[in-house]
Amino acid sequence: MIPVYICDDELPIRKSLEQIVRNQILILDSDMGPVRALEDPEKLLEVQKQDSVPAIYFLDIDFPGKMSGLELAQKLRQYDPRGFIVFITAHNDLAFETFRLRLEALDYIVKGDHTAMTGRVQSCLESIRERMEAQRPGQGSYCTVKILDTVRHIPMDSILYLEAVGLRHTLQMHLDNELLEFNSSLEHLAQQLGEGFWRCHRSFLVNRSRIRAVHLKEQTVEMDNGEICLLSRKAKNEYRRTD
Amino acid sequence: MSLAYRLGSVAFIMALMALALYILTSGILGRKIHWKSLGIFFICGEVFQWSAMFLYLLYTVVTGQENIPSAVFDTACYLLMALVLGAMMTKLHRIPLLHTFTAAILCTFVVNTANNTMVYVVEEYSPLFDRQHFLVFVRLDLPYMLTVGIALLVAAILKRSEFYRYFTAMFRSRARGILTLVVCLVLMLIMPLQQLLFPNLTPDASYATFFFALIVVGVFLLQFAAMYAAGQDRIKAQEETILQQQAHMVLLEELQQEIRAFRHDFTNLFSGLTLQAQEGDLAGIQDFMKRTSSYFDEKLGNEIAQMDGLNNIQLYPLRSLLATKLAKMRQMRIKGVLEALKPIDSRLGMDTDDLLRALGILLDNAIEAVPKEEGQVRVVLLQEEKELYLAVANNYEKAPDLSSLTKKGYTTKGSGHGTGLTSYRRIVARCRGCATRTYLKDGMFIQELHIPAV
Repeated sequence: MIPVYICDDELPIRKSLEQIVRNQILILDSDMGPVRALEDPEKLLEVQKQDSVPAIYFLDIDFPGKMSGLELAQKLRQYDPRGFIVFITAHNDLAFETFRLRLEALDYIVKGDHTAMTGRVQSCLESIRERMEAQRPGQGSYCTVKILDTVRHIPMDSILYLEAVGLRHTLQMHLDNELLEFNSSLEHLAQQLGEGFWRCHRSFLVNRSRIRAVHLKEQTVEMDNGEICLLSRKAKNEYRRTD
Repeated sequence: MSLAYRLGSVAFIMALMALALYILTSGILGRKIHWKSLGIFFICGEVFQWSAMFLYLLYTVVTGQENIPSAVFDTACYLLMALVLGAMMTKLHRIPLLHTFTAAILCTFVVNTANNTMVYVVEEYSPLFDRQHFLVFVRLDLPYMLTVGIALLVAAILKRSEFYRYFTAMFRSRARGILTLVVCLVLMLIMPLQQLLFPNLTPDASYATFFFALIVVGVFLLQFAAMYAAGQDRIKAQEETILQQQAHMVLLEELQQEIRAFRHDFTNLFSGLTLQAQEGDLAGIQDFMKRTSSYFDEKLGNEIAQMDGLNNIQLYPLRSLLATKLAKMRQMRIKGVLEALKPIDSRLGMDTDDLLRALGILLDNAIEAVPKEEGQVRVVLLQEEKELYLAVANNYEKAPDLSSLTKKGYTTKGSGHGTGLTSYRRIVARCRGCATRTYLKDGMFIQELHIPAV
């Protein structure tokens, strides 16, 4: 079950949104719930820790006199990096790019028209269900990377390889359709990632399950997306021995 | 006196020489002393100096004549050492080799001159000793130790006065850099040349003092030249800022024009509405409301959001850069979105110049990559407690190939392009604690940059 939270300080909005969400969950027949509607953002931060993650959050954009929706979402993200955040707003002109990129917010819902809200909630919940189903097979093995203040859980399967670049302990992590560069050491990551990864070169750590071919002659390792990693002589001997 | 003691003394003064060189060079470059590389340099210095001495001995023994003074060998040895030191500094601090090599050569000159002066001074003023060990200590070790002391002092002064900033100004253009290098080389070669040309001249303390004064004057001249160059650069930068501000003004004027047009539109619309109201056409009014409620947002929302964003950026050069790029986007009919929800201040773990260059590259790339129709570039800046978050997103015609993005010179634009991303990576790699993320999402290509706050 994926818990659902609604946090808005206006009672009528909260009530009507709760109603809409409950109905849509019933219609979708998905394993979402229970639905909790809260007024106070502080309370939400407390309640969040008592149930499982990832969860779905419908958040107001600001709570007059209390924290902003941005802050609230940042705090929620710290505990639940993979949760789904949807913002509720009174106007169209909110700075949604910031929410979408920084907080990976899913969407936003404009307060007001009931039918429009219903449609938006429906599309949100559907896309959440799709994403959850897509994630299922690879569930269980995640790699946690902390970049400055942001914690990210990266599915192990999506990692192709890691490369150490430069002198200052900079690592490049190559994922499907994504590239991360941050300060860390290959030794550290090798320890964290465990047996599924192979140190095929002083500056390469490759995902064993994503290797297409090992070219002993050219001393390279080809990944399943066609990228090429280097193979050291030591690793080559190691590979021959295990074969 | 035992051979071991003699050799030990020589090794000791050679080590002191290397130490003085290293300290002074890192002083000129404005960096802290890195103990590991200092150790490596120690060993290199010993090896080079011993081999120079050995070669000289070999030469005199084999040819049986002394027509080439030892200074030639020494100079070659010091040149080699300067090269090694320069290469080491380049690798360690990521400073161009030309800078480090010139600094190393300049240091060699300063250290050698200081050392000569010290030797003469000690020779002049030391009393006579009959105990040889003590004599060696006073005559050899003491001046070299004093030299290290001078090097420490000078390095501290240079670091305190941020000499490196002026020093880099000497390398703004290639010709200027090479000229600086040549001048430093000439300075270094003065001593051996004098020995070669006038071998009979016996230097003494006053003579050395003259050289010492020459250094002081030289260093002052260098500093003044550098300050002048830095001043010129500042003027240039200011001119650039003025240009960028003009771009900003143009944006403001455009906005004003649009507001005027909008006002005109609105009065017309409202006169129509008044008519409908008089006739009691409720459905018509509702229809009007539906049509016009988002009108304002559509027309001016984006511009106003851009202005809000720009106003939140208190790092002035950054604001100018963004204003210029947004103006460029407007010209090219690209929809530019800028969001900076919170005030952005200057407590950044990245040099402002580097930040501007990095963001400039990202923006230029985004502007070039958007499709001809309906191009979109979105820029997000968010100041957080521990970092500045920066993202540039653009839509694209053909999805970029992320796997080859890290390759040197990757480009979608044919040859001659693709240096931008390489220098972007270099800038980011230079900044400790910076992290980047590049990914594709919902039809957008997104480049994120996290810069730690200090």
